[in-house]
Amino acid sequence: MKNIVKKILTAAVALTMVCGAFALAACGGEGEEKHEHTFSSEWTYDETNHWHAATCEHKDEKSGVAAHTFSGDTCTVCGYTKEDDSENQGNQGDQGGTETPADENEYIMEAEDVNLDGIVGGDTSATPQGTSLIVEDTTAHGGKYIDYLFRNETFLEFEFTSSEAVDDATIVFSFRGKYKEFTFNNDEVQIFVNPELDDMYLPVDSDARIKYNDITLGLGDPFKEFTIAEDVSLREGTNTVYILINNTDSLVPTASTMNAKAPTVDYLKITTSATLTQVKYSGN
Amino acid sequence: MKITQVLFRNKGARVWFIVTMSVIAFLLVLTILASTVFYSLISTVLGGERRITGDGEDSGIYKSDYATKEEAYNAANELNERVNEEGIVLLKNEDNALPIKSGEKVNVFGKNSVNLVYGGSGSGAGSTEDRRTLFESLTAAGIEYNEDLKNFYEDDSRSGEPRTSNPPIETSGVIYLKTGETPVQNYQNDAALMASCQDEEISTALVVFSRIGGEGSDLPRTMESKTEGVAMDGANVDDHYLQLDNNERALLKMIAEMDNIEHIIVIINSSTSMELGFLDDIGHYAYQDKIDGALWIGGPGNSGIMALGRVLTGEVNPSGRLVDTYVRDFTLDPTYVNFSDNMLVERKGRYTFTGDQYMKTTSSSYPYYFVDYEEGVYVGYRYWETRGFTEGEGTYSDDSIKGTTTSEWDSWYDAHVVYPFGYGLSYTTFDWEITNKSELNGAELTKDKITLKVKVTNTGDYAGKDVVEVYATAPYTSGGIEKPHKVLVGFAKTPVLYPAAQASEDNPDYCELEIEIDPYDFASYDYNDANKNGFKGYELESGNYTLWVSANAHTAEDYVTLELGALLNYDKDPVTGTAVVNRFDDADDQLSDVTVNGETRKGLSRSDWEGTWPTSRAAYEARIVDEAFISQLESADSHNEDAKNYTMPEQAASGAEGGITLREMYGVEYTDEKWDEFMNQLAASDMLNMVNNGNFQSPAILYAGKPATLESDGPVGFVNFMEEDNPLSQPKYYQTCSYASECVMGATWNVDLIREVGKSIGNEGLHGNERGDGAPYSGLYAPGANIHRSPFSGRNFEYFSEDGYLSGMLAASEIAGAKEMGVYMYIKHFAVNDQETHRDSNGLVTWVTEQAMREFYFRPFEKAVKVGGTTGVMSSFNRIGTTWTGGDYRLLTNVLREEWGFNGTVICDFNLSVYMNAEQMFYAGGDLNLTTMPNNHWNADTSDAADMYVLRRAAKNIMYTVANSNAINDMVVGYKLPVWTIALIVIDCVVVAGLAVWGFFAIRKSVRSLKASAKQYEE
Repeated sequence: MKNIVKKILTAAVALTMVCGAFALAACGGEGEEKHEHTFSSEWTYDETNHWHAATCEHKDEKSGVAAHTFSGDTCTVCGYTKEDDSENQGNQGDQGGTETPADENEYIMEAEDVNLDGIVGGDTSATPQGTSLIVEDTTAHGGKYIDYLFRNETFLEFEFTSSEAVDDATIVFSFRGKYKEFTFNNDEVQIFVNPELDDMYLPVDSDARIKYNDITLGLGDPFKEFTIAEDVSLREGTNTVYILINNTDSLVPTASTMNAKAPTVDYLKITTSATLTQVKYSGN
Repeated sequence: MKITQVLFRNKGARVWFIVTMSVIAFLLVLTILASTVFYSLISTVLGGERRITGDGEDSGIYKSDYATKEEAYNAANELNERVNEEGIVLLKNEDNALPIKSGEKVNVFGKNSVNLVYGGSGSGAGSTEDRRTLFESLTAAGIEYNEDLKNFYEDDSRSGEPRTSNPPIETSGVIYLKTGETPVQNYQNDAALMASCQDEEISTALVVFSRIGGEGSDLPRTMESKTEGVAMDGANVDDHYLQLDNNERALLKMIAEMDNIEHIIVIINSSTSMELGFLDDIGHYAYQDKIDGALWIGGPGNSGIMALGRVLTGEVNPSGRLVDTYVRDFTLDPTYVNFSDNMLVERKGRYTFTGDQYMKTTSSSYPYYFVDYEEGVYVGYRYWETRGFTEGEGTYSDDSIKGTTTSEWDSWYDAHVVYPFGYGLSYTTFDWEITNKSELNGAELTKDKITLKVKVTNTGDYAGKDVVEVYATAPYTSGGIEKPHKVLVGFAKTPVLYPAAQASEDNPDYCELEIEIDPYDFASYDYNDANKNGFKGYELESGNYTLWVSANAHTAEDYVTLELGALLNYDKDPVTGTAVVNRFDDADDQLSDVTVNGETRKGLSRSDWEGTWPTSRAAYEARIVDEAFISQLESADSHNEDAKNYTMPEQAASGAEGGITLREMYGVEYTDEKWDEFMNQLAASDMLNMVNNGNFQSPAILYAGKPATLESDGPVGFVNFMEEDNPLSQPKYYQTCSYASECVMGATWNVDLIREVGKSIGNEGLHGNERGDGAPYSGLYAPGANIHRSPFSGRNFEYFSEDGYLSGMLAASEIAGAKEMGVYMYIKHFAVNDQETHRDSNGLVTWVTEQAMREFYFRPFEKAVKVGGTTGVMSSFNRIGTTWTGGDYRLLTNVLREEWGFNGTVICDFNLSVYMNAEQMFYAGGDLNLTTMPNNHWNADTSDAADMYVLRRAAKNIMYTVANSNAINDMVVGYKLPVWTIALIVIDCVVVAGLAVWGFFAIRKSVRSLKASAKQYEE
């Protein structure tokens, strides 16, 4: 008798413990208190990025992850200084990309530095223009990016000078999606190098655009680099990379102040043996 | 014995062990995944957390009239049908064209008949679920239609492409629109189709003409395409969008030439007015003798078209009245040259220059735009009726009216106006009598309200409703205060009145309406002391006043005359007693100078129409401004002169529980001291977070009992165009009614019916996110209450009318109805946001006289506060003069709060742009920042007295609005686990219990068998 009672009691205790464990696991969902991570105000960094490390028990959490913004060899945001120039050049950031040979340079041209004068965008209930297209975001390179390009025939023109004529330029854009996952092709978002423009400031020959592969931007993805073209020719002197929204496939069809799908743009990156200097527009 | 022996030696135990381990492993994985990774997903599909309410089922402050959301939704759609029944306007009915007999078969022409315009696009667009069609409406009313014709239109390969639905907006703000009407060749090449249309059985043709509207752009005033000299398909370069194009005109001709067709009935499916001269003018390019019926239906909302069939058969007698003046030639409207891009669009390199843009030089521009309200008070019928009066009766010759060959007219008015404001026919006739005429006639006018009693008798053969409109004429002196000849000051709609033959006590054939008139509503705002009496403000000048009891703005049935001896002025607001003074002296600075009786002033004058006619600033030279002016535009001055007196309030260091909850503040007067106690318990950082994050919500402050609120766009129902159905989240806004466009609501002229619309919105709000966590929809960005200044404004479908009084009384009614059920409405957009072009391009610089603002642009908002008791207002994108309305203390505090007595929340229109300065907004009296970007937040300095004072005031305003809404309906004391989580726990426990019991027996058996075999072994 005693044995049976012992067994029943053991079973009951085990059962209770198991039920309790399940209940606790079930309750661990977002119904009760949400843990809010806390972060250090200091910067932690590696060769490529800097971020704020978590001070709560979730040590793997990071906040404000962004690539360094170098002025010379020192990052103007976190203070990290490059140890050895030649080895660190060509580092592609945390999204991966092609290796840069030692004799090529990488130039990042911020979208927020282009001439936004006269550029009209589209958002869900407004038509932002000019510098209103610039949005601050610590996860963007340089802390800013261009949003609200959701309008047919809106464009950005990256102007820069090149020290010499070359045929080795790699064109890369950093994009992020918005509103939902979507895919665009090279006709819907047209990218040109040194296009001839008509009176309406639109490319005369849309076929002269770069025929890059379809790009898919997922909802919630961070900014990612997309290689648009390799071995592109640049002129000595002034060049432009021109990106034009050429579709009426709105991401939010009921919002009539926007009528196209478009990426948000962080920067244009060109890797080449020539020396490039972006023409920046102040006041942005 | 070892445990392994026990478990594995005996088959029963072994099976149990394996099964148990597998099941437990499975359940563990399932439970953990469900509680973490898939928690949201499962919650949105199977239901999430449920609020626990403190007082039980029946104690909510607000109670829905319906048990479920679906019931409320169905009731809303039925109500919407009634709104359409009363809003459809019968424009023409000759030769017994209407009603159509039930059982009759008709041809339904018009490509858009299979693709109606239900509302507009943009933030106000409703969902496309549950949209009824014209054909369903006809069938339900017993009218048969030609199926072949319908199939033809539904097949784009036969009838051509449909109209432009999502127009590409050019950078200049211009859009290119096709009507989408089918060219006649498509019919004529189709013999079988033509045969079906010419069936002898069919003698009536309905023809649907549609026009769209939408946020963000105005309608084209030229049908030229992007290629110079080439028009959009089916149109001519010199035409505009609001007239019949070549295909539509050809269609009418083709139908008229069908021998079997005796009656053509035109159905106007457009929420803005159109040129309808083809209905009454033989010389018009699209005139056809057989067009003997016409109805205006506007944008019916999802269910509203069902009313049309009933109107066509006479089951419902139409009782709608036009909300705009329908003019023959829109280019003759005084606003025509001072609207949108001022008819100039030019591309120079990367820039598009438009005729409303400020220039630095003739070849470079500033990114600032303006609009000149040169017409002053003469907008809509205020112009047409006034000029009709001054030009007088008598033959009028004019061959410049576009679109017609007619050059001799009965009068100037007849040459210019097709249908007056307030016009609408009925299937029956009515007789009117002012029953207290002898009392009123000749009486003295005072500031007291006047009650007009009008007996309305149905003298015809159909039951129906009638509308009595009252207009006032004030004495005008040439060179004095500009006064329109007539202004609307009262209106009422009868209940259904029956023909004498059917009349009974329950179904009377007459009623006596009592219409209350407030002289304040016809006082003129003498902003520039035009009558030189030293006073600037609302004035009633001495002389004779006429109150016209009218069928519409042009035709009076009867009138009374009142006399005013000594002038009366309103130096104080009649409701609050606050001094009323000019606030916006700078608002007309850039309007042209005109000369009237030797004096220089601004704006069109009835003393000299030609001499003071509005001019346009399209020429470059007229638009060149200097840097000093641009600096004014860049200034973030809120004009708050009182800020220097602000003192530091007491705030808690951090929020403490156990204080006063928001629910306890329900019904507490705004000025009551208890509000101070309540506000004292809030921490500055929490208030700042709440005021800064106003995108379709206001955040929670849980320790004060304030939940987060759900606030959505409208204005024709709860919609949120930013939400999307994707696998990982269900929209919070769903199954909500898309009501008729506001112009259809306006056309009902029925304040009681519109109050029911408000209540319906309130009921829908109470059910809210029923399938989610049950949170109600508390706020609605509605109603739109700007003025139809020009027919081409893209957003006219969202605004009631060209008249401020009609708009105001209906807005107030809708707001009061919603408020009764716990929904607060943010009436928008305050103020003078009457076009879409460049409204948010650094803030459209709007030049307008204070007189026009005070007499009708502000009036809807004033009525919403004083009559409707609104607790929400949304400021606008544009500026008044150089100051952004959302950051103008004179507007948001001096006028709205001090003069009118508004208490509640002012939210800004979408804060996306640099010129919408958050700090300026809060100092001006704005309370809630509608933004999704932290960039646009106000970084208040919580150690600064003025900042803290302003912050607290803004927070209090939001709290006041929310305290008196369905957000505090239930006492939320906590949140329960979702049902599915509890079910999962129960399943886990039951399974484990089952396994344990099984295990008990299996192990016992195993133990016993081991013991038995051990014993055997021993033996």
